[in-house]
Amino acid sequence: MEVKKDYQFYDRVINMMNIPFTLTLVCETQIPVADYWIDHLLTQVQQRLQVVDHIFSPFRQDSLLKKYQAGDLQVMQNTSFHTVFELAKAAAKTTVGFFDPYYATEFNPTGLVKGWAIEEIFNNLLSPFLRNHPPVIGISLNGGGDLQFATQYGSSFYWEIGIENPSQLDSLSAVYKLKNGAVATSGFSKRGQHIANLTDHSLLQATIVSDSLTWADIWATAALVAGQQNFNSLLTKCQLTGLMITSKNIIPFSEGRLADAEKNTI
Amino acid sequence: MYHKIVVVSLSLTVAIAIVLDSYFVLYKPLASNDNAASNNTVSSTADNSSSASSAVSSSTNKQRNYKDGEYVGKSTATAWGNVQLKIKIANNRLTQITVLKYPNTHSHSVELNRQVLPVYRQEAVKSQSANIQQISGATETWKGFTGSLQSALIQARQA
Repeated sequence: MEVKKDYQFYDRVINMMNIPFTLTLVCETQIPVADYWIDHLLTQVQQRLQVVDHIFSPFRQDSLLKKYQAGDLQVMQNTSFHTVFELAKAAAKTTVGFFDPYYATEFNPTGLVKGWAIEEIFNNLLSPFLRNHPPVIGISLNGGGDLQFATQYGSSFYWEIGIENPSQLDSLSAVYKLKNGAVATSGFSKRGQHIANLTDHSLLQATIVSDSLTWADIWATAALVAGQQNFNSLLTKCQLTGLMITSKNIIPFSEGRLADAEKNTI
Repeated sequence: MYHKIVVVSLSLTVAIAIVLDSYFVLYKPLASNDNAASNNTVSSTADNSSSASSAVSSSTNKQRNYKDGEYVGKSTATAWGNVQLKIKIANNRLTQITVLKYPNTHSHSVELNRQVLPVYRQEAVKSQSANIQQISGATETWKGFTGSLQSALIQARQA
């Protein structure tokens, strides 16, 4: 029986773009300076998310996305806009159209902006912070249920990530134990209108475990749209890892292979 | 896609550095007395101390130290997976490097190299009864956050 130590967690939650973002630091023991560190990081996370919102908000009339939709191609000179635009195209291609960056015929990459923004902030701010602060043994940024996380090199700490049960939101369907990576979940339980072009309802929820939250998020959305049959072949082809939940089964898959589904009948 | 390009190019850089390294371990002694001019440097960001950087030298005299032809290297295990390369020598120069085998782009994270499967598959796990640090769920709005598992988790930690 492994003994899980009592770690000290520092959490901060902010509301950005109507999504709760949770920033978490983990230390071996309580250290007073960690409160200062996390507040300082939170300010920077907030600033970076505000920049993303200014660029991609479908609600702000002055966002670059609105300008693009109005025919202004100058916005492509913005590196972030250009990157997300290219990512959206790549996502549509890789998922054979199941991830669709067009909503009501207008280009609207909202579906991947959150995952991309968290991953960018993680790679450019939180990862370097972790490397430079050895007393911190874990860091994660969770945006409304999609998260990127890391563990200090050499630490025995790992994240236990609960996957929500889509039929019973106060319980879990599964738990992943991971040190570094990203987990994204798509489903209908909370935001039915989140995915517009849905025809197949075979999957209630899809979770993807990856090293990139951008792609975990893209694939989780694509899985839900594709439905169980279509997604089965995609997950094999693209070597995906994660969890499908149907009304009858919880189906884990790892690196493109389905786990033994019979054992997991609900 | 951007991410994949970065990963693939990093893998390739590492792979190329490794083959150049072994190449010069094997062949450089032969060329060491030609006063070769270094005209091309490949450096690697890899942690592998053995492949920090290698210089590609082109000899300025007419000596032919390397036999023309294609050479396939052994498949070499690296921290990112197996790497195998083919090199081509023509006129005493390394003219082409072909990567025959390179690490899967998904496997550079050590944790994801292993089979990743969840635990507690069938039980309905309440946040209170399990040691959980984070919750992944379908997109959650600010409005629905209070009362969510993630929120309960944070409150439990602060208590």
